[in-house]
Amino acid sequence: MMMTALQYANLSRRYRRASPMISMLVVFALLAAFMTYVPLANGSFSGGGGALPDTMVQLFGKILCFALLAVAMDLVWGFCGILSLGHGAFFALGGYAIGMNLIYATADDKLAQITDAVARDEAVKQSIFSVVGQGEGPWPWFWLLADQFWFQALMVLLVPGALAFAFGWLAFRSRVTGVYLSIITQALTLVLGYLFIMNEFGLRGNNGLSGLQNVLGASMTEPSTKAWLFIASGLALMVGYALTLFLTQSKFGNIIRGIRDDEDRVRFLGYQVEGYKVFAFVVSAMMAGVAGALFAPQAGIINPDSFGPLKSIEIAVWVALGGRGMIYGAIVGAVTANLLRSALTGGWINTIGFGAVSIDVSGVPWPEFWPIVLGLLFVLVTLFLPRGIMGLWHDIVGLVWQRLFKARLVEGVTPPHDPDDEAKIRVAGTSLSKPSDRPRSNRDVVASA
Amino acid sequence: MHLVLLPLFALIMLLAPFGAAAQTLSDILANRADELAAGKTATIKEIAAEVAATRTPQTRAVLEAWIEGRLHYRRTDNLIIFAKKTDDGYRISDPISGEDLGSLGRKETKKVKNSTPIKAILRPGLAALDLSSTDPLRRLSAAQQLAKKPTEASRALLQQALESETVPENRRAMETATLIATFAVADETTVLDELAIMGDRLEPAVRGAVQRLSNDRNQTDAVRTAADARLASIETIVALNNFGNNILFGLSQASVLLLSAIGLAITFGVMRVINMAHGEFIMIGAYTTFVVQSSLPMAPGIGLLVSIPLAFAVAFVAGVILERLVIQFLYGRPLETLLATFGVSLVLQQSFRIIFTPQNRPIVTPDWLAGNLSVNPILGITTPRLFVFAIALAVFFGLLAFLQRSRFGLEMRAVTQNRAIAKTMGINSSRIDYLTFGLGSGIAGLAGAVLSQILKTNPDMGTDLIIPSFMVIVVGGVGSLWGALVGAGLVGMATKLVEPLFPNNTLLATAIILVAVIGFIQFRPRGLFAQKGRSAEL
Repeated sequence: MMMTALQYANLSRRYRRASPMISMLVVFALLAAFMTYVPLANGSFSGGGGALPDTMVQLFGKILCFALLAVAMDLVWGFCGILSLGHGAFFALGGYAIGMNLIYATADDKLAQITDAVARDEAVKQSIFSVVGQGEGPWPWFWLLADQFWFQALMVLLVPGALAFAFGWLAFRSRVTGVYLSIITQALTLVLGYLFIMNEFGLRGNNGLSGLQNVLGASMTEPSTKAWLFIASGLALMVGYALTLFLTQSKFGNIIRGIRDDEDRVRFLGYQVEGYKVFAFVVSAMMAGVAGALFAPQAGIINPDSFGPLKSIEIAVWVALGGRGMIYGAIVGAVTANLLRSALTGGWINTIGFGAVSIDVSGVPWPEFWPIVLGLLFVLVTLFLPRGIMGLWHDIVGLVWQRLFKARLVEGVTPPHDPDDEAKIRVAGTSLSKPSDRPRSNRDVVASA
Repeated sequence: MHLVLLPLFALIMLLAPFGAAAQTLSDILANRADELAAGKTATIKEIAAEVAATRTPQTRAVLEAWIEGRLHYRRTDNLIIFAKKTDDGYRISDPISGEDLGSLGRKETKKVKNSTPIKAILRPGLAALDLSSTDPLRRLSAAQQLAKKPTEASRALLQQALESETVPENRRAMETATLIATFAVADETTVLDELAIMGDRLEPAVRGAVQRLSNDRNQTDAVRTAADARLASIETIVALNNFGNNILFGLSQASVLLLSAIGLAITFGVMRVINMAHGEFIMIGAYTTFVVQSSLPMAPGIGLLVSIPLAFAVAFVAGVILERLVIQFLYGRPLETLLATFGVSLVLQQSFRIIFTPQNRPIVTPDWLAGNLSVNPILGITTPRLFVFAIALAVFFGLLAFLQRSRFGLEMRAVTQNRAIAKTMGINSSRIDYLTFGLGSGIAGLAGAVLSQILKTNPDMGTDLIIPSFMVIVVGGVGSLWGALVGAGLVGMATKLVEPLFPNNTLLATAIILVAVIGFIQFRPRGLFAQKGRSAEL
């Protein structure tokens, strides 16, 4: 008798149940330690000047934002199978939403000597828009509440969410899937980029929103503000992690994984696939928006560059690098890739080797090589690390586990932690239409029947 | 004042025997040398008009030398001479006889004054002279020169030249210049007559002249009304022609898109693989042209012709290597293929940026290709664009015939329709895969070599082409050459017809097209030429 999919699912769930919670706690513990260490090492709350420079605090804060962005990407790609090349746009929209308030506040602060509210508003508008020669016209309509932090903070969620809803509803309803969907999302990003680059659009064209130095009245030049933003990024990452975990461990999670593995079958089972996909897409877009909103003040600028196709595709590569379908994988991938980038473009590599055999390589134009390294990363990860760094880690741990506790395993079932579990559920009960989709370990499943 | 007398003077001089005129030129240069040297602008202007009115074989040379500042006088005796600059001074010669008079030091000679007001007399003088030249090109440029500064004199000269002119192009230029002169200087009746019989001429200069008439408050109401009517009539024709131009641009854009998308269509059709590095293969083709032309600096035309098959070969090999090294391991994982090929495109782009610098590389357009095919002054297309159009059609029909008639084409279509069945029929699908990928990439390379004639060759050129190419495939449907043709036609046309609506913002037009395509797939998710049946599912 072949083991049914349900039996298999129950079986594997018994092994899996604890592990996602445990892995979340491990990640949270590590994050908490990091979030304590960095401000202390920097001396952020006692005026700065610690061993860790201020720029590093900012860099780490930005990387945490990227990690949150990667988690958002993992939710749609790793769990739902939608390779969105539009997450760079959602990220940028979040950044722009909060940036509007920050640039307003910064200008407002500088013009504090003007006491008349109307005149000051006019002066603020001039100082914001004169750079694109549009200081004279009226405020663009969407700047109406730019002075209200709460409103713009709400927009951080609503704008990417609404766009994702409209676009997702249209695309998923007409059953655009796979590479088609990816290309269309990329086109969407490009369109937004074209709009944002236009001076007439009302967001300062190519200049973007720059000089964002005033967060809720606190100056970004203060080390403590930087530290608070860093901590906020870490907390946002934790919330994003917990939310994604909650979603993916629920029944909803099972269904979107089913959609990832065989959309038609889930549809035939009577689920309204479009609704699930749109929901996952919208939640993910909102998370990306939050990441962008936290990123903008730490970078000090948000401009139409963020809509570049490369920016969006890079996010997918972070996730692939860390390991798809594993939330911590997304984080590991984002952190690894961005540290690598900083190492190459930030002038960190000055010598190679140790002591007497070290070679001075400070003259090598490392930043020029970064796109090549990134490109190779795309190729090598997809070819040799299909389940990413964390997949490799689990393979190693699994091997050790098998050696130590082999007797305790139900016959032939591969060790826990395997994100391909779900694929196997599908495979176990059905014939295969696409041979290449068959997981390596399929043999084990059939053998266990 | 002298200018008014000039035509009469010129007429007299034309009738005068050459010997006497020659005498006059040398007389002027000899007798008025002191005045020329004195450098008083008013006097010099007078002399310039006199010189321009002489009609000797040497007049032209003297005028030209004067305009270019090669007409000098010797400081010792105010002798007027031609001076040619040498390392340590001037080589001088006699303006009339051309006899070499030895050399002079830098301080021993001085340029005859040729400030702008003086040139303003010399240039029309030269043009008037050229109007009766035997060289048709010289007559043409003379007519164009005279159209810039219309005067009573030039009008008379032009009218006279028109009588004997036979070259149609020159006639047209002279008629244009005459019209402009008439509008500028003639009396009311003549102007009204001209406005009535001139027809709808499209030359921008004529339009400008009519516009000036209608704006000129010194003109009578009758003239201004007539000018307005003529202007409106011209504008209608201009608008029609502009629309025709947009259609031509649209066709040209469609051919560019067809060339860049057609390779993508075959690889995507056969292998369900999105090749994000496709644009970089186009770039490779363009840079092949650059390298070939740089190594054959004497013969850019041959370089271009050689580089077309060479670019195909280079990109073919690159494509096969990419397929064997990367893509064959990723079949059935289209999203991963997308990422991997994007990585390849990054590597290629940055490598070219490092090797060839990020700047545009100059591609030479050979003489036989440079030019313009124009129906009238507005409606026309450049020959390189026509060339691209022809090549795009040739590639399309060549490929169509190849895929329909050859054994390889048969096998390729079999794999496209149903890989599994094709394999059971003994087709080596893996071989088909890499050959198809090579073919698709090769066509991209060829496209690059051809497109280098009308696009800028830089490391970013692939990025600019890839998204529109994908849109073409999305509209047309995968795996269908006809889909690529129709898709390219639709996207290209739409782009060029929307662009004129936003003259200040071509990006907005592109954005509108992209949104339109996103909307389009709501209704035809698989494109216009969708594959049908079981095998059609991705």
